Amino acid sequence: MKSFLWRALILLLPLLLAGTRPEALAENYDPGPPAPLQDNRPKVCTITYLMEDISTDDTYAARMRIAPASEATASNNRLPCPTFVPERINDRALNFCRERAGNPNDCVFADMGRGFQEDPARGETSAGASRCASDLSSQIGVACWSSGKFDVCNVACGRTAAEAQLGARNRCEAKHERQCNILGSLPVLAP
Amino acid sequence: MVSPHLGLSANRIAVLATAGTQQAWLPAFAGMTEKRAMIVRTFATMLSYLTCLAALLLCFTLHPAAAAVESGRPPTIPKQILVLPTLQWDADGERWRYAAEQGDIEVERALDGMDFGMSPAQVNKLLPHPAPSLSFDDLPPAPEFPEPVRYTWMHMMVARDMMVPVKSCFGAASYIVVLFRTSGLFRVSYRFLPDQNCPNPRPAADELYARFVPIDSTIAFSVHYHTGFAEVVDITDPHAGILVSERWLMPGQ
Repeated sequence: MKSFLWRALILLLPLLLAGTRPEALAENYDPGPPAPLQDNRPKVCTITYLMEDISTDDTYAARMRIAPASEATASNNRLPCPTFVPERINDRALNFCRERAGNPNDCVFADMGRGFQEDPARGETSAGASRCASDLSSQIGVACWSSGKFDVCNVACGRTAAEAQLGARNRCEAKHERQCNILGSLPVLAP
Repeated sequence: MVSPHLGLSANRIAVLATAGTQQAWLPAFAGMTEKRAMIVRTFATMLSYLTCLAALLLCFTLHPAAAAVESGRPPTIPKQILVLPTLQWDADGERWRYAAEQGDIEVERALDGMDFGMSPAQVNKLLPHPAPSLSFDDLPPAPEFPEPVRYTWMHMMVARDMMVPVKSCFGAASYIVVLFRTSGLFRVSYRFLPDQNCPNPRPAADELYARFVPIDSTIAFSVHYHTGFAEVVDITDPHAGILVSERWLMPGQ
């Protein structure tokens, strides 16, 4: 009878192992919002942008830290970001990509409009939708589909990496009516 | 003939024994009638098959590809994000500077000890197979540049230390060009080429490029582009004037 039990245990082993596959752990792992600073100093506003070089499919992240206004007060240990983001900050982010590209015109903000793949020269992309602010979100996510020539993407913000990626994926699939299975994300604040 | 110990016929025991793994079950049949032993054995065998089937089904359904098929979605592909150096803006969003100060050490680290402005003789000592001597005049000219530029080159395969961040494949003919002007080293150009064993060297170029993007562009200016079937990553001295914007064109392009 003892050997019967051993045999049953061996047969059940795959079931036990299947439940502990590392991918399952990785997908369910949720780091949550960043821990507060040990010195309790509030985090300065950071606005993170995503840009795309459509000739190489390189995705760039530009973090812009903005000094707080003198009267700013922190909420949840984070200083507020400006409600109006000056155009020159958007431009600076895009220029980071343009400076590095073989053809500067191939650089666009990563949140692309419907039909972008048919006429990329029109530059149907949005600076506002391609950025996330640290007072409202912890992660910036991107989701893309491959048009065959380049990745067509959208961006979303979230409290976690999974939430940001899911938001970007939903936005991309709703906008382009494609399956957007190329996914990435990044913390809004620099480590 | 009936075994006095098991209550089974000799034939049945032979069948059970030749079933290989069934031998381990024999003690469990002690004291049973042949009919009862048959029922137990059949039940146990069915249970074994069902357990295996359940395990296989569970493994399949938990696999991400299977989950994707079930939901009608293809499996996800990770997208690498290249992180640029953080900028610090003033409260009005008018002026900026790099948030962290960087120095030549970042360039030297990324270029495996080389630094902009080094003479060919200094760079020669750092190459995997140094020449007996190397001076600017010994080197072949690179006529595509608008000022006197000379170069040396090596296969990526022999420059392993310079390729440390690269885990993906690249064609065997891929190479690194080290370019000098009269004032010294001003560019290292990595040219990734495909071949039969590696038809797409782009991931390798991306992995190398990711090492240089976080470096402040006032210290090392990194670009990634493709020309013909080559993926190129150029790391250039930002103080090299008009040479900074020069891109390599694969012959015939």
